[in-house]
Amino acid sequence: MTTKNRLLIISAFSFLLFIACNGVHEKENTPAPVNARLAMGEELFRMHCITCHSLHYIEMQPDFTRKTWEKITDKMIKSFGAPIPDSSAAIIVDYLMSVKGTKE
Amino acid sequence: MIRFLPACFILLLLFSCQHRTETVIPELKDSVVFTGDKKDMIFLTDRPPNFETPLKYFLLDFTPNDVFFVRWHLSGLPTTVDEQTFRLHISGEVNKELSLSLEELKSSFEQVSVNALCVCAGNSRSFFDPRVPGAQWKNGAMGNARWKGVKLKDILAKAGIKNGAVSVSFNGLDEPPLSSVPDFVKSLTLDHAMDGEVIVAYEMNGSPLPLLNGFPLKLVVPGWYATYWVGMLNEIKVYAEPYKGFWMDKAYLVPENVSNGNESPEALAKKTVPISRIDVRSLFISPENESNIQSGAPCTVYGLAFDGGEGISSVEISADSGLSWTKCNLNPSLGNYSWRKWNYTFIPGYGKITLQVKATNMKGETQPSHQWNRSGYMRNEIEFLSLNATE
Repeated sequence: MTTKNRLLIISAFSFLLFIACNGVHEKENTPAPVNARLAMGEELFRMHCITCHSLHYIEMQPDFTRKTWEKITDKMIKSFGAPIPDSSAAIIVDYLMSVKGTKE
Repeated sequence: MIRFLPACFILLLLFSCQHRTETVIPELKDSVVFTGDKKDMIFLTDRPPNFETPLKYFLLDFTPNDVFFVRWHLSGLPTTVDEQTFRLHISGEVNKELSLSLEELKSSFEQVSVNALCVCAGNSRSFFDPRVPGAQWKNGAMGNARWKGVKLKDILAKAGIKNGAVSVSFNGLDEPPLSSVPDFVKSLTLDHAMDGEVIVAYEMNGSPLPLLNGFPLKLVVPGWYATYWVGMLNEIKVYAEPYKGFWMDKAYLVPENVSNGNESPEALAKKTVPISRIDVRSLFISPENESNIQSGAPCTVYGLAFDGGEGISSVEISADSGLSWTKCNLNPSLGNYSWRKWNYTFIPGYGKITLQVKATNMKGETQPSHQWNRSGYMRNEIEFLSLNATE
């Protein structure tokens, strides 16, 4: 088998795996987004927050008020330098409220 | 093709890992997961790893290494540490900087052992009312172990402390995933560091430290909360002024000069100080809360008590909402820095029984009937145990 062929097989294999993993991801584990803003919030969370910590950090908390989640997000930005622009912070807080927020 | 199988496997692993961290969230309540060299742990978070010990293991005098609680702040955590190339660096206000291999540490210093309880400052945070943000531990963020290592005093003496030095800092191999995140560094005063009780441990319960408990070296600060017990310790620095850093000045703070770190949401303490010594506490271990027991037959309740090193003088049980208290049997002491086991046997009548437990230490310090602080530290409110006696 030539090197080129081997590479081709590995690439094809990886591609299939990628499709397989993402397929499961879409179908079974991701709840349908309630609305576009929450979907964007989730995307921003993945982009800006999981560098340091997984969503489990949110999941393990009790339901907190919007004020508490705003304070926590602010602490992440000011004390830990989370690279979150102000416009994104509000959307992330909405998402956090959808995961572990008190009823408003 | 066979030569490429490892590559395929890595790809597979990469995709499956990515898949797992992003999408599958284990059920949180008592979710028990396989976690590297750990077994049977209650899962809190994966990045960074935080797992607590199921309560049943606290029936043992010493908490086994493979179920000992795990607490990390920074997700830049090495997955292996090479014993051959690892070095412990000592620098700052010293006459001679040191770079010690594990072999040198074990062969050139006196080896000492201590039984000591390692308890997270935020242990039991999830029981505070109102609830506070932070790692939502139940009672399992603690463990008792026999630690073996070298006195910090001896290491510092070998480096030679310069006149005027006042504080010492401790840093581990864990790293911030972003440069803006403060590295996890803790400090002690020089006097505390030189008291002969603080040790640099390389063994717990007769085995090397598990990686997730800080392999290969962990600072052991008997009687003080686990936030000071820096794991994967590789850097000790001595300073001519009090050490300043985020994890000493901004985090792990408790109300100043208030017993049990108490304050109220309506009146937060104006002045705070770094958390330090473990406050006095007792817990129920068995039977579990809300268990059914047999009416008319002797029932033995098991639990443990501890403090910051004065030693436990008594543990008392009340079955009448605190009006009267009866002394429990104390197991022999394993040392003042260890927890102390206790038990209490009684013959239950019928119906619901509510017990409370309260420990007192040699200094006369005891537990409050209510306790709260904004960060959820030093939990030691008097505990309740509800049992139901049936025929």
